[in-house]
Amino acid sequence: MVELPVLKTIDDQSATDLALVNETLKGDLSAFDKLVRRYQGMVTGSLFRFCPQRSDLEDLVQETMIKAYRKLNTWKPSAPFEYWIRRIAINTGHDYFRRAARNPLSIADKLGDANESVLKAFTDEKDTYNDYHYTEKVQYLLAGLSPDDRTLLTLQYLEEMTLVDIAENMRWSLSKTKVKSHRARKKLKNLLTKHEIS
Amino acid sequence: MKSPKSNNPNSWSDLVTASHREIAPEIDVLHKVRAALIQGERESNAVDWTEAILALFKIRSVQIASATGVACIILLSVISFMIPSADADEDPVIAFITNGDWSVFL
Repeated sequence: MVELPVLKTIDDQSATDLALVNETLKGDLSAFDKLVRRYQGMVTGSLFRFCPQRSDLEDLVQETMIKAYRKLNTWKPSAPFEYWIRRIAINTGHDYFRRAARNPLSIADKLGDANESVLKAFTDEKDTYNDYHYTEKVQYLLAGLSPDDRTLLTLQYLEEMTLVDIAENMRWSLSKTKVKSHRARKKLKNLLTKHEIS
Repeated sequence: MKSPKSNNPNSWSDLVTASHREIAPEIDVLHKVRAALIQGERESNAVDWTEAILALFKIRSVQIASATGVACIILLSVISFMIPSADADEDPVIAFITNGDWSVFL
C-alpha cells in the first residue's frame, strides 16, 4: 500500500481527490467511484476529440478509468489529479490511433467507402451523417496521417492545447514538438489539397 | 489552424471551428468500470493460484518427487505391455499389485 504524502498547499478540490485516492489505495472501491463520477465528463470531453463515435468513445473512457485505477499509486499530489487523468486520457486516445493504424480492417472500414462519402459530404450543407459530423470529418481527414501526427494535430486544433502543453502530455521536448507540428501541418496541407479542400 | 486557411465556408479552419461547437455526449461508465475492476480482481486471484502451483513446482524436492512418480507410472506401464499374458488374471502388474508376486517379472 502506497501512502501518499498530504500537502498543505493544495486546494480543497485536490485535497478531496487525495483523500479519495488514499481510500481507493486502501481497497475502498466506492472512493474510486466518486473519482469516476467527478472526472468522467472531462475525460469524455477530451476523448471525444479523438473519437466522436459513441460506442468507441464509451470504451475509451472506460479504458482510461481502468488505467487510472491501476496506476493510481503513481499519481503525485504535487500536480492536480485532473491533469494526471487527462494525460492518461490523451495516451488512451493516442493508443486508439495507433491501434487503428495497425489494423488494416479498421482502416478499410473507416476510410474506405465511408471516407469517400464523408469527404463528399464535406461540401454538403445538410449532412446528417451523425450528430457529431464535423469532429468526425476532421478525424477522417487526420486518419491519413501517422498516429503521432494525428494525435498532435488533434490536441493542437481540436483540443486547442498549446505546444508546451502538448510537449508535456506527450513527454516530448518542446523543440521536437515544434518540428513535429510543422511537419504534420505540412502533410495535412498536402492531404487537404489532394481532396480539394482549402 | 493558420494554414491552410481561407474564407471558404468549407475550409479546414471552418470545419475545425464547427467541430469546437460540438459537445461530447454524456457518458456514464461507472457501472462498467466497477464491473471491470471486480472482474479484474477475480482474474488476478485466479492468476495467484496458478502462480502458487507453478511456484510449488519450482521447489527441488517437489520436482524430484513428481519426476519419480511419473517415471514409476511409465515403467509399470511399459512392463505391463512387454510381458505377454494370456488373460487379465495373469497380467504381471496386476499380479504384483494384488499378490505381491515378484516371480511374474522373472
